Amino acid sequence: MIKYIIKRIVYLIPIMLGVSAIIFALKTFTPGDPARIILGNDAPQEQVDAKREELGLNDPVVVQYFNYIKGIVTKGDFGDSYRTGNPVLSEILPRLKTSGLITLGAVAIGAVIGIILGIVSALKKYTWIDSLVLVVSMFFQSVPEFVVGLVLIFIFAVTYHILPSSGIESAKGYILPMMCIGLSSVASYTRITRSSMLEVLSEDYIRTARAKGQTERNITKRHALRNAMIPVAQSIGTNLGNSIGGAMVLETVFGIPGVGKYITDSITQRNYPSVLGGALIIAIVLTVINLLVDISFILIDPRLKTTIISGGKKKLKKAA
Amino acid sequence: MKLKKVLGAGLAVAMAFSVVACGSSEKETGSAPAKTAGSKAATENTANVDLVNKVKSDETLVVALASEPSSLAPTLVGESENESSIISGAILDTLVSQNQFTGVVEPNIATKWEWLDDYRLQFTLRDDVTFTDGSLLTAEDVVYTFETLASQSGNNDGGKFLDPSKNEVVDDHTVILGFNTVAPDLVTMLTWTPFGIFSEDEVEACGGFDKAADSPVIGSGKYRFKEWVQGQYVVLERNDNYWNQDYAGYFKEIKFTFTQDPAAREMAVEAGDAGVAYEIPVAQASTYVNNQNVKTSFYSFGQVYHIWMNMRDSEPMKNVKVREALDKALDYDAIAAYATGGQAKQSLGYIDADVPFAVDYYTEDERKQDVGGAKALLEEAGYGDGLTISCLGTPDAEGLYTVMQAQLAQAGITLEINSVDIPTFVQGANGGDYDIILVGEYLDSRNPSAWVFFDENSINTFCIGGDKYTSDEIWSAIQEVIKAEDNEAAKEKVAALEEIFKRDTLVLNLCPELRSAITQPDIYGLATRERGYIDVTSFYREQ
Repeated sequence: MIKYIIKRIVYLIPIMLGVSAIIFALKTFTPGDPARIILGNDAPQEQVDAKREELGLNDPVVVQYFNYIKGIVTKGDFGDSYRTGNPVLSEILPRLKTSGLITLGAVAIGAVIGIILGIVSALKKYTWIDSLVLVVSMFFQSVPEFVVGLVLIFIFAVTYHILPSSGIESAKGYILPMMCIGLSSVASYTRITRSSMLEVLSEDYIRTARAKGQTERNITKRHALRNAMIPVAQSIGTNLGNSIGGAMVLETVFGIPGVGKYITDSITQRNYPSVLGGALIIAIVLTVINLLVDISFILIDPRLKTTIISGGKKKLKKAA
Repeated sequence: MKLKKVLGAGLAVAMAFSVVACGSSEKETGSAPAKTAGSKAATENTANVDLVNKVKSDETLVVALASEPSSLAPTLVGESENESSIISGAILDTLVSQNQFTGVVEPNIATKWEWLDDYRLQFTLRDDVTFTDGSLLTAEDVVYTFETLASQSGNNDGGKFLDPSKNEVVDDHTVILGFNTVAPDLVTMLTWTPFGIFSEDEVEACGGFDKAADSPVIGSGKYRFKEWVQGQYVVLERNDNYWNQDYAGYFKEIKFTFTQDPAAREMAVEAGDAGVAYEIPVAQASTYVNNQNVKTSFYSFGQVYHIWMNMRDSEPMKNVKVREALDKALDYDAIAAYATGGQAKQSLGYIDADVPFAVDYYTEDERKQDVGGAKALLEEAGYGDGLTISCLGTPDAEGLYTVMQAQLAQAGITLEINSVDIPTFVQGANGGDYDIILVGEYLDSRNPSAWVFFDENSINTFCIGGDKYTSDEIWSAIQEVIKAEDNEAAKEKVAALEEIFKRDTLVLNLCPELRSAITQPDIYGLATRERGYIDVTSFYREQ
């Protein structure tokens, strides 16, 4: 297991190099001189030239890239924001916490609603309730998140004044963005729960339980649900990454100071250190999340150990 | 089983609820347009007309801005951003102020002023103006402010015209400020937000320029800096020691929030979470005019949309007949209706009609769309089989370009729209990488800062300069406008400039650029500053 974790951490290196190389290439080949952006359009060319020298922009791209990576590895230095002059890491960390909270909340909302709907759908298969659940969950998946966001603001902030329309000054401010992102993932949880439940409900041991006179509630709760939850748990893990992406878009609608808003603002400002640092930190976070999710799968279902850690090699060897 | 039924019913209700909510988002109720300011665009509500208020309250006004500024006192760190200008405009007070309704420059910190010669302006200061630390504002502070501006913001619009070597403290309340160019209207420039006064002691107490820019406990304005929670909000509190208590702020605190999406900003006002939503795109704001839950205001601010032709020595734009064909092919009324959401008409001159020295150089008749005439001109120019030209613009100009594209197509001109982000636009504009370019030019006064983009010395570094055409003839005509004794005399000079533009068809005047703001229905006092920035200190609630 430890070997596997170390291996996964080592995998981070090529991922980080790939992400940083792509963004560095974008920085190099897109128009707009960072020195001119920092100093303004009216700045004399001599000042711009001096700034370029100071930022190392006159060095060959490979040297710039090497220096950047060296800064991260040796000092944890992701560079300074062109806009504020502050270290990128110190600007991103508090925002990452905000985005993380919203993502976790969104996943929780999506999962709870999705699982409940999935169970209802499975128990009422091929009825109008099943169809209604499908339509409702697909509705939230089909409508773009920012549209759902605006509708939620209209209902909960404008019409009923229950929740704030924007900002996260109070805990209430987190609810709408969490709901918005969570609702968009309801459909996938519903479908997975439904199919998983149907599969489990047709297993022999369920039939045996019924034959023994167990109530339907007991069968669902004690036997079917526990086993049906394994693929759902896996889906929750993989959805974390998607939800972070959703949070990035919605932060502009809800005025949330998260890492997504930070990166999108930085892109329009050509604030390359912030874009680069933000993307790298997100890549690190997502890779770590994926690792934790994989480990949690093994804890939930030890049978998966073979598939995840050894990629099924042991099984193959045995078969041979 | 019961739980499932409740769940199903709940979801159905929620769905129906959202459908009903969406359907009722626009409450259509008619209301007569208010009187407009001067000849400003016909609007539902307008700016700078209902400012009288001497009452104070303990309320907080929340102003929803589009983005968070990088600093709150931009001139200290050589920056200029819309949002930071709005916030710092409440913190810092200027020597003189401009009545945005009449255009007249009025006393403020300075009670009177006079030109000693072409380059030196003497001000007499009030003796009851205090800074954040309680100290009295003196001539020394004014000199310090202008020296700081010259050193920290020397590259920005205004800073480049200051000549600190000519500054002089005559006595505690008399100061002479120096300039490096001749322009009687330079005093108008001093009404702009970046020229707000602060003291050296305040800046030092903050810990220097950078720290003062982030936590600006400086100035003598109507409001004082209280708190900036990065990424979330900025709070200012009313300055109860403001020298003019009759016009001190109504709201005890002003809180700025930052939401990029304009619809979300508007809904924040409807929800009661914000009192004011600033800079809603005009086309979008037009859709809120009949919504009784909010008050929508439109105002012009001296900026006109122009199409500049690239005058490089290459086909097709160097051919005057092609330029004339473009002029004839465009339907300016339709363009104005689109760009202003039906709130203003086309511009008949290079300068916005509301500006005191503007002249209507064209008639509506001669600007009528003439597709046949355009085709004939293209035939003469050798483009009878059709012509393809490219334009450069930012995404917010894309809609306007699309309208033009359809109009030009009628005359056989294909317009390729090159829509890019702002940094790319700046680079393309500087590099002359276009046939035509849409630019909003702010010419609200005759101070040279407003005309720099025609100056050969700054044309290489100014965003809308680049390959844009200028000449000794144009620059000389502009100098005449700038140096004219007063606005009346300037009109004649403006006419001469318009004649050059018209003779060579260098520029196509489209329509005034409008800004819009949305407020709660009982909030009054929408006032503006230079470039149409809102003056947040003037808002008050109806009693």
